[in-house]
Amino acid sequence: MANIKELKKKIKSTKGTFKITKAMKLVSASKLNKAQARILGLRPYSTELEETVRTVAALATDYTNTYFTQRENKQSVVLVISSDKGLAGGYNSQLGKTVRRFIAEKPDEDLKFFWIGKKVRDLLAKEVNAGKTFTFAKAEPTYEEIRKVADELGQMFMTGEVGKVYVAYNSFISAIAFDSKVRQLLPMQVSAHDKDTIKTKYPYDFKYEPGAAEILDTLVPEVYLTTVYTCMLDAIASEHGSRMNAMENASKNSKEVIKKLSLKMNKMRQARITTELIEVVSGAESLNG
Amino acid sequence: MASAFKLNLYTPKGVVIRDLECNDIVIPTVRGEINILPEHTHILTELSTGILTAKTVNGVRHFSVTAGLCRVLADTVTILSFTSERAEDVDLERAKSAKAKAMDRLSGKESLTDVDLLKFRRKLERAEMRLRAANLR
Repeated sequence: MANIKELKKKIKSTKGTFKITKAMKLVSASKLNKAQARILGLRPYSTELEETVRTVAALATDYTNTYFTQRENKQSVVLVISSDKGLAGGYNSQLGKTVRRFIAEKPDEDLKFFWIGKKVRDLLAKEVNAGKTFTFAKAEPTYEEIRKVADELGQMFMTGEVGKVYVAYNSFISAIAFDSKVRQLLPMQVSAHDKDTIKTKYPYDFKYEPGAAEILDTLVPEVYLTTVYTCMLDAIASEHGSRMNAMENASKNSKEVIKKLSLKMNKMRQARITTELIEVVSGAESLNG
Repeated sequence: MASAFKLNLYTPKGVVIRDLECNDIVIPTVRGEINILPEHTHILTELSTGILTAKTVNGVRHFSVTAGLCRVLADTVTILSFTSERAEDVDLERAKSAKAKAMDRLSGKESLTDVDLLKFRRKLERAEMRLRAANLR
């Protein structure tokens, strides 16, 4: 039967796929390890920094900074951090969905989209007002490169060109989980509720050296930058995590397919042998006849 | 009265030290060094490049720090520094070569822009500070 030959071919190609997915899984696992170490190392710094600024901003009530200015401007810009490469499970499609939901929630804002990574851009380019795509020298941008991106967006906000800056990205939870979200970067917000909690938490003011305003002036841009950088590292770590899982599943599936195909092939081979045997035996019988 | 407090030292690259029990810390700030003892008032200040000295029950530890923030709150001192190293981790050879390089650039053989001048001065400052930290271990 020619079918056996076909099955053999199929098994061989599935084995090839299995090897590739397994290799990709291993690569992602090692990249994930590094990315995870980076994001987990950065997180304490960024959360502490953010909390400090919120605290000071809440306590120093008369302080104002351009970063906190609420504008009437309906123009907003969204930075979407996706990946350049596919085969990462639901990584990009989920982010795409989240962005669509976000657009639906903000009908009165004129949104413009900037991109890091081309996957979600390609997904949404036809539906939205697509702007520039940022690219980096290496797959993983350096702090300096992120600073440039953040500065460019910050500048748009500072000059009043846009009223709000958002970032859409996948936040890293664990190797097997991430959370797609859209976060408002600028203007920075300290809600009234937050102010109350902070005030009850810290019922005393700090002593500032040199002064609250000077400290905030240097801190606030730093917080903004660190937030963008955190988002980027979050996105990178979740990309590798997501790809690792996708490849793990793909490997499992191809293993199963190989098993099924082999079983089918063996059955067929057995059937052929049986038929051949019957033919031989009956031939011999008829000769003896 | 609390006789000790905790020191946390974070950088964007990672956690340098967490919950180190100290009873005396000297911190370099933009307004000069400050000494934090238990029961210190809440203070928020900017760091400057220098060496942070922490006295613990197990001896004195040194850390290099650069620009950043220092927050003293209740019984916790939180330092957020752009870069920081434990004195025992400082790579002496690298610090020396960095210092030599910065000295060379600043020696005036080639003209530097203001930005570069500032950059190399900072580099020199950092390298010298790391060498000092290394000598303290």
